[in-house]
Amino acid sequence: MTIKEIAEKLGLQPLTALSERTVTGVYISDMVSDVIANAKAGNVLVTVQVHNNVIAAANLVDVAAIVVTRGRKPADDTLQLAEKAGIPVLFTELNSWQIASHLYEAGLR
Amino acid sequence: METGSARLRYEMTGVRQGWLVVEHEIRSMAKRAYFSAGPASPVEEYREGRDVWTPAEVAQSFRFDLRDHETGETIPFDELLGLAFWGSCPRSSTIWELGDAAQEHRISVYVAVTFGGGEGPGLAPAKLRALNRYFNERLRDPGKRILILPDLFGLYREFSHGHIMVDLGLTAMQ
Amino acid sequence: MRLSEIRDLLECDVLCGEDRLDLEIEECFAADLMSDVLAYCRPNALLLTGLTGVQSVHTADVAELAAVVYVNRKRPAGHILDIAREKEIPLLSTPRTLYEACGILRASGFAGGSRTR
Repeated sequence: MTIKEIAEKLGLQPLTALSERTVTGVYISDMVSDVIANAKAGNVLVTVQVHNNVIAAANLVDVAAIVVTRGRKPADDTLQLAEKAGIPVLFTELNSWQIASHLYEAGLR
Repeated sequence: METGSARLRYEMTGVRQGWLVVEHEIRSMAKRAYFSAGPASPVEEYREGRDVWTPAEVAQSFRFDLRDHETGETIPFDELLGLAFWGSCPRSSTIWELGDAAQEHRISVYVAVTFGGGEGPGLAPAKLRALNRYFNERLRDPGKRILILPDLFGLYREFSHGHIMVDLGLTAMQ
Repeated sequence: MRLSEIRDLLECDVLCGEDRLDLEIEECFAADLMSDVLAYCRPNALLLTGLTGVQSVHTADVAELAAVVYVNRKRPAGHILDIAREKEIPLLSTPRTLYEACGILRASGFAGGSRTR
């Protein structure tokens, strides 16, 4: 499944340009140390964090997209940074547990 | 799902959770940082001769080793304070400008900030190479590159947690 | 769903609170940011987290959570277990990631946590 398909299926609102990249799995964390140590290339990162270092950590391990949950929106310069790094950022009002349920039901393992 | 992981030379091992503590000396406002592996974050000030050091910032962080599957060697990275991404540094700083220019070519610049900065041991070139290789060999996005530089920018001196990748505020109760 | 069933599904080690595994869990919350747990997690929910600091137990106590499951094989230090025992908060540890844990519970028919407060 690609980022675009996931966004459409789950009704996630893109805050930066989407990509056709295929997703390899999902990683949920609000900790950059955890993302650096455990997230895998091509994963969708689900988090409530909106600071620049989330982009930094996601980019370092080649995360395919970031889903920011619980209605939090990154600042404009954070989104610009994500755009430059080529990482799509998506927005949802749902919390991380809820979005995890939907991703799981959509078939992502 | 990790196809080809058998071909990867380096593996991150021995991940230890802990705290990155930045302390200030009360009179001189001298600043230094250390890693604490303790279960709780250090909060108390203490005396060292005439100096009084107080923890100014405490963030959650981790330490790790890299195992080199080619040589069987385990490389510790205890001197590494953290990695700073160019985009998290102040705009129009040297590192920001360099990183911004490199990012246009899909090269993401990070700085390996070490304890003690210029006065500390720094990160040996062989370790820096291993770290670069570790992150790059995991990338799947074709054309993308990670470039981890030594701290040529003096980020240690002026560092705050804002631009180093550590976890701040996770445990704030409000 | 009972906490004992969750333990089985997530292949958890029970770190403390063995006597409280018959608790009925109706809701889950997945987060590492404790202020978020305090603000948005409802009482009696199960917290799934990667944060092992003492604050995870303090937060569970203040927010009146049923139990805490640490993911990625993480375990809090011994003195934190003592605090949890005193507060009667069961603590469990699963080898699963946060996403896997959420997915496994969801796939087993756990529907809780479908709303935010």
